[in-house]
Amino acid sequence: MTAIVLPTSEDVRQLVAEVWASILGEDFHELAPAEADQRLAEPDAVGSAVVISGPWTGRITLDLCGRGADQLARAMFGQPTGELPAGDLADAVGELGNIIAGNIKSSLPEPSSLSLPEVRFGPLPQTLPAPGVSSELAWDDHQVRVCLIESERVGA
Amino acid sequence: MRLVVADDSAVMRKIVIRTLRQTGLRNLEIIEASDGLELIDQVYAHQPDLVLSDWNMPNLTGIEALQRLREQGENVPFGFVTSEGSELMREKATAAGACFLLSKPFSAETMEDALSAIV
Repeated sequence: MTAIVLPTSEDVRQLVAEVWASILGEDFHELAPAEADQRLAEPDAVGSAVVISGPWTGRITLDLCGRGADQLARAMFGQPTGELPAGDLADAVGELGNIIAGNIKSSLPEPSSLSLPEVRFGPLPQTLPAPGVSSELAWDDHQVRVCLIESERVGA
Repeated sequence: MRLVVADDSAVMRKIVIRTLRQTGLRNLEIIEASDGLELIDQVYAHQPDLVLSDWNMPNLTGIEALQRLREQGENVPFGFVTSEGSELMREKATAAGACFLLSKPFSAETMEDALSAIV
C-alpha cells in the first residue's frame, strides 16, 4: 500500500495565503510562519473543523484570533464597520474552513468526502500531537493555525 | 439574466453575487437558495437562465439536485462553485450535466471565463 503524502506546512501556508489574498485584496500583504511569541493563544479564538473521509480520514481544523476572524468576515460580507452578528462571524469562519479543507481534499487520494463545517468559539484545543501537519501563521498582527489531524488522533 | 445562486453559507452567496456583478453582466436578477431542495424549488418557481451551486450542502447536495433536475427533464444550464476541485468531481459534474466547476477561491476573471461558454 502506497503511503499517503499529506501537504506540507509550506503547502498549507501557500493555500491560506491564496485564500486570504482573494478575500482581503490589497489589504493583504504577507502570511508568514509565526514566531514563537506570535502563536495563537487568544481566549477569543474562533475555529472551524471539517472532516475528510476516504483513503485519508481526519479532521482539518482552522483556528483564528478574534481580530483576524473579524477582519476576514467583514471583508467577506463587505461590511467594514458596524456590528457584525456572531452568526455572520460563524458563517464566514465556517466557509473559510470549508474552502481550506476542500482544497486540501483535492490533493489527497480519491474518492473522499467532506463534511459540513462545525464552528467553535472559545479556548483553543490542545496543540496537535506529532505526527501530523500543523501550520502556525501570522499576518499583520493576527494569527491563524491550520491542522490536519488523522482520524485516530481526532480528539487527542 | 435570471440566476439561482445556491449555497448553505450566506456569506458565500454574497461573494458569488458580488463577483457576478464584477464580471460586467448587466440586468441580473438573482434568486438565492440555501440547499439543494430549495434550489430545485427555485428553478421551477423562477425558470432561471443559469444555476450556480455549491456542491456540499445540507438536506440535498448540489450534485444530487442537478441529478434530480436532469431526471425530471429540466435542462437549465448548471455550474458548480465549490471548494473541491478534484478531477473526479469534475468528471462527476460533467457526467451529471454541469457546464463547469469553478473552485474557491475565485476571482471575477475566473468567474467570467467559466461563464463565457454560457452567456
